[in-house]
Amino acid sequence: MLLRVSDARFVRGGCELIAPFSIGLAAGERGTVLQPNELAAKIAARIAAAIVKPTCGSVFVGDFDARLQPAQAKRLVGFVAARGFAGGTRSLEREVRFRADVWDLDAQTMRRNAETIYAALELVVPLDYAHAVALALAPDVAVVVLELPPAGVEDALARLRPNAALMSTSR
Amino acid sequence: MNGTRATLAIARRDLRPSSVLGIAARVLLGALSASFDMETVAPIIVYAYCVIAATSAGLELRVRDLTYFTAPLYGRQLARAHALTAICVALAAPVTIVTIAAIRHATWPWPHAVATLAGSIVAALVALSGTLRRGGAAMAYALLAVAAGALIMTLAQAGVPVYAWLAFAALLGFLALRAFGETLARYDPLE
Repeated sequence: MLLRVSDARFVRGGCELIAPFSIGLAAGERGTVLQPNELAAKIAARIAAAIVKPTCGSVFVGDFDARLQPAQAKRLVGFVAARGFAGGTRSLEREVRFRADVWDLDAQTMRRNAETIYAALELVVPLDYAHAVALALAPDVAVVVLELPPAGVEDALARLRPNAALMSTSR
Repeated sequence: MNGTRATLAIARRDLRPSSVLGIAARVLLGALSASFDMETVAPIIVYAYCVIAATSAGLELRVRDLTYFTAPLYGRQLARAHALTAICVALAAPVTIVTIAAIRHATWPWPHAVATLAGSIVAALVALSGTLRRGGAAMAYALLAVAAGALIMTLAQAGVPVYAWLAFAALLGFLALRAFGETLARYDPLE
C-alpha cells in the first residue's frame, strides 16, 4: 500500500472542519475523497500529502508515518494545489530549478520530466493547473494527491503515471 | 540529502526583488545615520534604527508559501534557510553604519559596534516567529524582537563584559531559531 489514511479528523477551535475519512491506495490505484465544502476538500488533500497534520487518525505514505517522518513521506508525494501555478513559463523554469535544489535531484532530469508532463496536459487542463502538475510530478513521485482537480486531469495522469497511487479530493 | 543545497535555494527564493530593494533602503538609511557623530549625537538613532530594521527583516519574509511546506524538509531545516535570509537583510544597516564609521575614523568603541550586529541578528531571529502568526500575536513577537535586540545593545552600553552579553545574545538567537523551527513544524498551511 502506497497511501494509507485511517480515520483522519481535523479539529480547530472545537469545530470539526472535515468529514472524517479513510483511504488506502496501492500502486496504480485511484481514489476520490468527498468532502462537504472547498476548505474541507483542501484540508483532506493536504492531510494525505503530509502537509497538514490530522488532529487524530494516521497517515502513512509508503512505510513512512507522516506525523513522525514528514520529510521522508513528502519525498514520495506529488501534491497539486487547487489554485495551480500562476507564475508563467519563465517562472516555471526557475521553480523547476528551485525544486531540483530542494529535492536534491538533477535539474536537467527534473526539467525533462516537467516538460513531458506539461506537453501531455496542456490541451487537457487549464495551463495554470498543467504547470502545477508538471512541477509536482517532476521528482518522479509514487503518490499523487490532487486538491479539487478540474475534470479530465485524473484520466490524463493515470495514463502518464500508471504506477502511481492517485488520490483526489472533491466537494 | 544535501541540506546546504536546499538551504541556499530557499534563501535565494526568499530574496525576492522587494527584499533586495529592502536591503538597498537599509544601506541608504544606514549611510545617512552614520553621517552623524556616532557617540555624541546619534547613538539612540543608530541603535533604534538598526533594531527596527532587523525586526522588519524578520517579519517581512513570506514563509507561508505552500511550496515550502510541500518540500521534503523538516521544520528546523526550513527555519535555518529563512533565518539565513533574515540575518543577511538585518545586517545590511548595521554593517553599513560600522563600515562608514570605520572609514570616517569615528570614535565608536568596537564592543558597541559588535553589539549592534549581535542585537540586529537576535531581533531578526525573534521576529521570524511572528511571520506565522496574525494580529496581536504577531505584534507581540515584533515587540519582543525589538526588546531583545535593544537589550543586547543596552547591556553593551551599560558596561557588561563582552563575553557575557555575547553569550546571552547567542543563547537568545539559538532559542529563537529553535522556537521558529518548532513553529514551522507544527504549522498547518490551510490557505
